[in-house]
Amino acid sequence: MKKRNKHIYLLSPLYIYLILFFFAPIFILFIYSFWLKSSSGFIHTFTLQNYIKIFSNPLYLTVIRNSILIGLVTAVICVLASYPVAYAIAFKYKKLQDVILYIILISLFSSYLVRVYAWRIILGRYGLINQILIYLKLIKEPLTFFLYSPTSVIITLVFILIPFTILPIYSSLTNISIDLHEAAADLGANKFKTFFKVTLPLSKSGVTSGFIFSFVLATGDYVTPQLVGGTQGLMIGRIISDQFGMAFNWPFGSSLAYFTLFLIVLTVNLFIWIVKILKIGR
Amino acid sequence: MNKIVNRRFKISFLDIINIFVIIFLMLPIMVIILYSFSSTSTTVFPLEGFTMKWYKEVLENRLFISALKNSVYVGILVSLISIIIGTLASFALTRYRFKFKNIISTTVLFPMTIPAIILGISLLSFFSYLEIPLSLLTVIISHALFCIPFVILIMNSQLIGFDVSVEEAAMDLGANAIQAFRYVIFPIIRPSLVGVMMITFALSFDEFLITFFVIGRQNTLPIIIWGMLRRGVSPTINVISTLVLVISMTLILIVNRYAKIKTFM
Amino acid sequence: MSSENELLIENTYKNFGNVSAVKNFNLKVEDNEFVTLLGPSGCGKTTLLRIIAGFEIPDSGDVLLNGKSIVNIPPYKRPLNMVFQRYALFPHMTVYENIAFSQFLKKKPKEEIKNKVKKMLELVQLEGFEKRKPDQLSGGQCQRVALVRALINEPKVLLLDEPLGALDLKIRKDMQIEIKNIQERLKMTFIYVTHDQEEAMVMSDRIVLMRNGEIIQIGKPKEIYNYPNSIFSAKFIGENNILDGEVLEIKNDHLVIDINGLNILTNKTSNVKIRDKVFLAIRPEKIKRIYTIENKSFDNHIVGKIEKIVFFGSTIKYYVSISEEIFLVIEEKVAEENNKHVKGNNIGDEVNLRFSKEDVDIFLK
Ligand SMILES: Nc1ncnc2c1ncn2[C@@H]1O[C@H](COP(=O)(O)OP(=O)(O)O)[C@@H](O)[C@H]1O
Ligand SMILES: [Mg+2]
Repeated sequence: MKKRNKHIYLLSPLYIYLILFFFAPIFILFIYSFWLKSSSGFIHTFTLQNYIKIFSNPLYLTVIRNSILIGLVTAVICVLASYPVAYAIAFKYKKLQDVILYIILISLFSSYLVRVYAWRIILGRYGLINQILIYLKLIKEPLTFFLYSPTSVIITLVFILIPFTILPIYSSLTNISIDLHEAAADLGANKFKTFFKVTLPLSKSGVTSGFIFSFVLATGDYVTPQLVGGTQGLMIGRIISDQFGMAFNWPFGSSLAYFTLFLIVLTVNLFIWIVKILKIGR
Repeated sequence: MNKIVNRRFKISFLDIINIFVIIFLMLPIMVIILYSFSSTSTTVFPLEGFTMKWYKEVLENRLFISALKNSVYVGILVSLISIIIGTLASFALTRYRFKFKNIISTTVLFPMTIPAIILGISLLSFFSYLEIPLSLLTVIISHALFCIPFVILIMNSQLIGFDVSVEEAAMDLGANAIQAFRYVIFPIIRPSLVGVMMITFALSFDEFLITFFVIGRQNTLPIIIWGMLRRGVSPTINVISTLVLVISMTLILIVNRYAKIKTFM
Repeated sequence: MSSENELLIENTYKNFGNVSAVKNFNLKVEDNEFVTLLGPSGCGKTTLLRIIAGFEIPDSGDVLLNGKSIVNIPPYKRPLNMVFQRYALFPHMTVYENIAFSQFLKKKPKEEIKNKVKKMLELVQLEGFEKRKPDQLSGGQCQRVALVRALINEPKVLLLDEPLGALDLKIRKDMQIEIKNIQERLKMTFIYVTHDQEEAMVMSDRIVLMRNGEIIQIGKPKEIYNYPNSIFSAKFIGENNILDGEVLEIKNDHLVIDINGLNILTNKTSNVKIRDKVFLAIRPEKIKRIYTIENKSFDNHIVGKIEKIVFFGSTIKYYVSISEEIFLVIEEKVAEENNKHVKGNNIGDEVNLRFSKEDVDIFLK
């Protein structure tokens, strides 16, 4: 009766908004990817030429591959580094819990652009690390291995994105009751066994979503590679955005975006599948 | 006894990782704030001199003031739009059972999970296809798009804990739907709404990449920060960055005051 | 309150998906009556109450108040009020504001509201608590506030959904009496839901025993206790010894039932045949011990061994094994003479038990 359909009224503003400003735009971007650029504008046709172009120039494939690799490495480091933090906040630091969560949230909500920029100040050739080391007379010449390279991009991305992995892992860990730990201990499981048989499997959802978050955000990042990556750290975001800027080849930019998105979705699903077949803890 | 004392002061491997992560989370923020007071125009160690001159310079800069105004204007409208749309949807998702609910509740999160650059160029293509001129309005529309999923996620976690029988009690005592909302539901969820408002404002206030594609002639703060970064190091960047950081941190402080942050996760 | 204040529930059905929560429900509740819906958890009590209150719309059937159908009236317009399972107090309002809420919505003058709330607080002895918030009250106090918040509206019928479910046993017992007293004093109709049969016995004028959405038996507490109409009633209301057997012989004035080799005589009922599988139910207090075996003959005379003794204050229970498979519980008033002098009060002692055939209820399987 009347009550039955109330949810539709409540959801309709959202539906309208999403259809108009989300599904329509990504659909239009899809259409663009089959058009062509001409001197006077875009030719409205249907051709796969843009997609073929991606494969014809190794630059694009290399950059896409590098971007995905950087994303994967960043995500793995993020998960590995945030698990102990999330675990400690959930089970160990009872008193400090709020303070640490607060620090993580401040970091999460403080300007991303500013934080990347700060890492440039820290990591640069004449950045703070080198200056401090020289000041302390530990080195004579600035260290360069972490400068303007994929390494510096990964370091920066890890610290920018780690709140996105700590929080989901933390919240999945808090759903595990202490009772379960105690029960496992009661049944004679030692600490490591408890961890691998009880804690880790139950926090799988947090790890999965943390990994996906950091992987997607890292792979598609635009600011970090430009500020700390140098020429070695070029990533796909820059190339796509150039097509919408200087190159003014929107159709090609769209196809690059769609191709990258396809690979990202593929990788994410591969990851989910691996987690599934690994059957951690069973 | 000895054992207990030992345990208390033992620093484990776990603690070291934690300390390390937390230092590196705070480090960039500290560096920026510290160097905004540095009297040298480059970042040198150790810090030389203390000055407020860069602050003065920034606060007298018209470009900065207008960008700040724009950012606040966009942030307020974005948080209003996304709170209304998101909260209504969250009520539907937490209160009613209906077909395809699971699919729908995942679909609504898409705008949050797609890389920002793709969202940015999609919206740019869309606006240009429909010949909608780029302006702060297009920025607001775009920001609300990725803020709505945040509102839904947070409000869902709040509303799931909301005892529906409280609302029914109001109706039982003679309140119609509007009165029940006004006198009972709204006052109860108000702290969460304030929290969500601050969070969406902060999200919008900091957003750079999508804005970069859909903004017209005007500027928001992240856009002018980006412009400065590309042009090279200027000490005023540190000042603007510090101001932006302070605004975000204040918002999070307010959120924490009104609604325990822990309940948001 | 008018005397023709009567609630009628007719042929009501309600399904949730393929769960049938309420089935073919028919009930008439008289004015000033205290009716209890009793049944195990999940049997549809809450659903029925919500149908009466207007929060659920029945799939079919009708609810009539004074002869007028109310199923299409929204909850906020129904002249009924409900006390919710978990109090459902408004957490952001004070006790005063909670109680005054319905009167405030009715736009009653401030003075009148004030007086009414005062009276209500007196009714449940909560004077001085006006300014407290619900989280500053104990469970029992919350329950009282919830009760008067509904009562202030002078409902034609008050619906109470397990209002004491969350309270300690002691407070619960006190509140049972208190609620019953209030109902008698205000002369109102109460429909009360509980899964606790003892609570139902203490409070109700009439009990509606439910299972799987259906009515099993309706009657005064005493009637249901003494004359259960089904094995379910016999098991659910009060304590009973349930025995599983088969009809062995049908005599002129009695039946002989075989329980694993033990023969028990029962009253004759018309609808059984030889070899029918049956349940027998015997109340623990109906089984008597025989201390001196004279030549008297009893309908049923059984010898057993005491396995366990539990002391309840005014009563005492003996758990007696008759054979490997058969156990009986017997209950006695504690009286001095059979406490000390008589032998047969220790675990392991042999006891002689008797009960008459009238005290055995028999149900076909
Ligand atoms: N909103 C609902 N949706 C689906 N099933 C329900 C709903 N409400 C109750 N039920 C089901 O209906 C049956 C009766 O529930 P209820 O009336 O709450 O029982 P009781 O109050 O006697 O414990 C149960 O099986 C329950 O699971
Ligand atoms: Mg119930």
